[in-house]
Amino acid sequence: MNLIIVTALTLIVAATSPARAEPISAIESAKQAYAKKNYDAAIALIAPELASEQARDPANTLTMALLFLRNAELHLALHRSALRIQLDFLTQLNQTQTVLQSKFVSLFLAEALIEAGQREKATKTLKQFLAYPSLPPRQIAVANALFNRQEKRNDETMPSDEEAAIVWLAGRASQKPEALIEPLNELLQKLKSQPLPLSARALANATHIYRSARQYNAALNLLTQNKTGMPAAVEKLDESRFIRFYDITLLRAMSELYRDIGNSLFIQLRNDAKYKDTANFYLSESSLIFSESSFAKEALVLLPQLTLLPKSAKPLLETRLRAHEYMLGQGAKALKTWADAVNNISSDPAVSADAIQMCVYLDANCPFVVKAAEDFAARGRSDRFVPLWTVLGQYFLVKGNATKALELLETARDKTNSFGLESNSPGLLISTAEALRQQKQYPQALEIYFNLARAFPAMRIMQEGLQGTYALENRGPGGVTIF
Amino acid sequence: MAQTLSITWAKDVRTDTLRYGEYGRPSTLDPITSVDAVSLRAVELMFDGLVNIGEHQEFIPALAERWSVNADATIYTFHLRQKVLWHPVNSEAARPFSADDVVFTYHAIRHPKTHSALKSRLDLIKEINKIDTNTVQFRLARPSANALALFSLKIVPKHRFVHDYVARNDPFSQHPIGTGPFLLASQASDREIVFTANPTYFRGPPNLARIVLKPYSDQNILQQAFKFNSVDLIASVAPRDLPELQANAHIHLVPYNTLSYSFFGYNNRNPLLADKNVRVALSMAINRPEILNSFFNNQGLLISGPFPPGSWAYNLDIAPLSYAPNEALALLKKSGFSAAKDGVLERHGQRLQLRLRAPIAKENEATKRVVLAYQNYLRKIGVEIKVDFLELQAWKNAVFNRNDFDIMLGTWNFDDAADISSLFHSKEIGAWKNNFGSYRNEKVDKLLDEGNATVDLSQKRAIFQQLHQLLAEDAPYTFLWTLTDYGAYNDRVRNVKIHPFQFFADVHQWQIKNDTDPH
Repeated sequence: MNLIIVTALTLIVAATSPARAEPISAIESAKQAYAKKNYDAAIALIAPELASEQARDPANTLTMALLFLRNAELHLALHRSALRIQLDFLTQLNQTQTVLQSKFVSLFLAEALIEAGQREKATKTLKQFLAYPSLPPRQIAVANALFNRQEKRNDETMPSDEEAAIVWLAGRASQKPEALIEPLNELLQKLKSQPLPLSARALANATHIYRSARQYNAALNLLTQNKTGMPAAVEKLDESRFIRFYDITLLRAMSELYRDIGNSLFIQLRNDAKYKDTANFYLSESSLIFSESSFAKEALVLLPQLTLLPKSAKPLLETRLRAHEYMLGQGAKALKTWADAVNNISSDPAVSADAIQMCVYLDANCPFVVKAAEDFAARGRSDRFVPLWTVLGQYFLVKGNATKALELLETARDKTNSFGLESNSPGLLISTAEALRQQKQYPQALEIYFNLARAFPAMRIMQEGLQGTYALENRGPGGVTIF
Repeated sequence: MAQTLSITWAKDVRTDTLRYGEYGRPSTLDPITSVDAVSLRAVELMFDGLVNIGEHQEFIPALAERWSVNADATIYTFHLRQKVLWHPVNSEAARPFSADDVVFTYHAIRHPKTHSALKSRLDLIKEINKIDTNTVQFRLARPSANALALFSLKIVPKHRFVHDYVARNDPFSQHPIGTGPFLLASQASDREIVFTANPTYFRGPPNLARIVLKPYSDQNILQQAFKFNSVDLIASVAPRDLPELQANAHIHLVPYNTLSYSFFGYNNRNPLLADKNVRVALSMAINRPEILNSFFNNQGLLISGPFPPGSWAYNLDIAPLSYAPNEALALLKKSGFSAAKDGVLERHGQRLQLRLRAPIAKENEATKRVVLAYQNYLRKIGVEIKVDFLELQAWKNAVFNRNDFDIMLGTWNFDDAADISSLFHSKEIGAWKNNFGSYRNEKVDKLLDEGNATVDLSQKRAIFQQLHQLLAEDAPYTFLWTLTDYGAYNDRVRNVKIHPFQFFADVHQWQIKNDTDPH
């Protein structure tokens, strides 16, 4: 999470705070929720305001765009972590011989494998699922829809089950998504008339369809009016035992939706003389976060022209410019620029952090840049170094060195508020939990999730998955002590 | 204060000695009857099990160098490490560790005259046989998903016991010897306990020459002693000291004991508290978020049931009870209580007056404030609470031995197994047992038995989550919160790795920085 972002938003909040007591607007409330890092709550507050008069004020548009971008980045991190957790848990569960053997596990493992790009394994696992006798029709229909999508088979018949039909529609969202809206709305209406709440699977796939058709309001309404922590399916093992399974695509669908809404707001801001440079700066950042090289050429032209930026953003232009070059295959120049940024005798921790951040966004190998940043970070004592410690930790985490990652992330973490969002960024906490998980320090990772899930309920998939792995792996002798 | 402590440090410092501070003294140094965290940490310095649990949840050889399991997982055969010696006693030559010691330990724990919280865990063991001096075989009543964990219990030397059971006052607890990395050099009441390195330790001689346990009866003074270098390490940092310690670059904070929670426990021997409505009402009448915020700076998580939120067994669907004093009062009225002239509730002439016993040293403000807040909240709905603050040992005796209390305030610490059987199973009622409140619920017993019997760990999770719901509804405790505990050490101590559940698991590798070492 970049320092510049925080600075920019702080400025906006300060500039637009009401001077005297008056009814607080939804956008003001959203800013306050954002300041507490409660992005989901902030988005729920501004969702109904997207088309309002207030939202057309450029300062408000920028605030909203930043909220969406930050939440997109967070949900991307959640999705990546959730995917690792799900693959771990479902693979173990699928291999474990249990008294009450789950059948659904292979379906959800297949979904996770599809998400991870492991196509062959996914197909094999789907076949394993479909070979089970006495499966519920809904799960068979969903599995068939996924299987046909995997095999690129053009199954023309929409399943009769509403939820499976939404999955089927989502498989067609890349072509003429607008045509899918009407059947989707009908299916959702039918599902809503049923006594059970909308499942994570229905939410994820419907969100994906709405986003593809640029029906942002409809997607936001769906997410804010339904619980995002619901399971995708509940498997009844016997009279009293159930296993709940969650949809791995929901976090990605949310992340992509927030990214697209944020980008559309930034694009809207390009028409404002005062904010156009800032808008282009963040559009460039959005493309870096999601490693989208399609914007790189445009960014190479735009970034050198940006002059109307906050003072703290200007030193970052060079590191960002090189990042876009890196995406276009010019890695050596980028690495040299980033190393220079860190090695500069008067290095600013924020600029150093940004250089490492680029390595993280692009999954680049930056050993020399990182070594220099580590030396610099080791000399740091103040809060100014928190972003640098954080992003260095994230770099090592991406590179598979969880021990070192944890050391750096723990240096960055403010422990005076436990695992609270009040004093730590959600990105730092998610990375810390992931490092702890990889070190098999499950209780602390679960505590972080427990705390964060109050603000981000879609994280339930991570809680359930990690609890499941922990249940299978725990080796405690059963010690209990009192104090 | 600062000056005195600094002077103490200057005189006391040894380049090869680790000094660690504890709040309270160990109640015993015998691993079989230890129930408190201070004792168990000290025990880790001196004793080993057949197996240990590594930092990545794997079983690693300890006193057993290898083991085998039969096809249906009911026979475990342990091949013991040879040339392991018990700590020497006085001038006698050290005796060798053998299969006899293993058999003795497991029999002693199971002996009816032994009061040990470990006993119920060994129900699974049907038979223990010495095959030869270096081989022991355990037959289990049935396969268990986590049977190897049973063999991490600490082994004691047969030759140091007169009886075939272990009493809490056994002379062994005054002169314990083990096979561990440190041996007891001296202990005197109200003074520090000194351990010296075991040069023949089977994992290699420790890097530290001595470890000194300094007990403090006042938590504030313990924290001060750490800040001013009178001790190098403390196992638990007070929440209010975190900002200061975190800002000190020479101090390292390590999360520890994350599987723990605090609670008010109720004594069901009192008919008033045997009424579920009363227990639930007491839980609903206190504003736990406010207490957590006011006294712990929100440094913790509110919980809804008998497992910590860091556990695999926590049921995420159960929300903590809300603060609802009116509903609490309505529940009490439903149970037949009405207000007397002075506002205190009564039923059939019996006042709703209860005695709360809490462990406390005179300066432990957080505990005191929690108890007083509890008392105040309950006064508002007409429940009268009389509070006794007792010294730690007196409190343990009152609660666990004599069961002389109505309400107690405590904190449970768990390992990975999150095993709550000893807390709530009716067979765990009795002196020095963990079901001190005499809680009985047939459904809970049945689920605990089922959970412990299953070899399917996913099923066990489902069962434990049902238990969470049942116990949250039945409220044998008012479940409060889990606080994130931190251990802390200064940068004199090097190469420290703290296992999440066994503080001193790798202590033989720890080092103390000599003054001449580079920074």
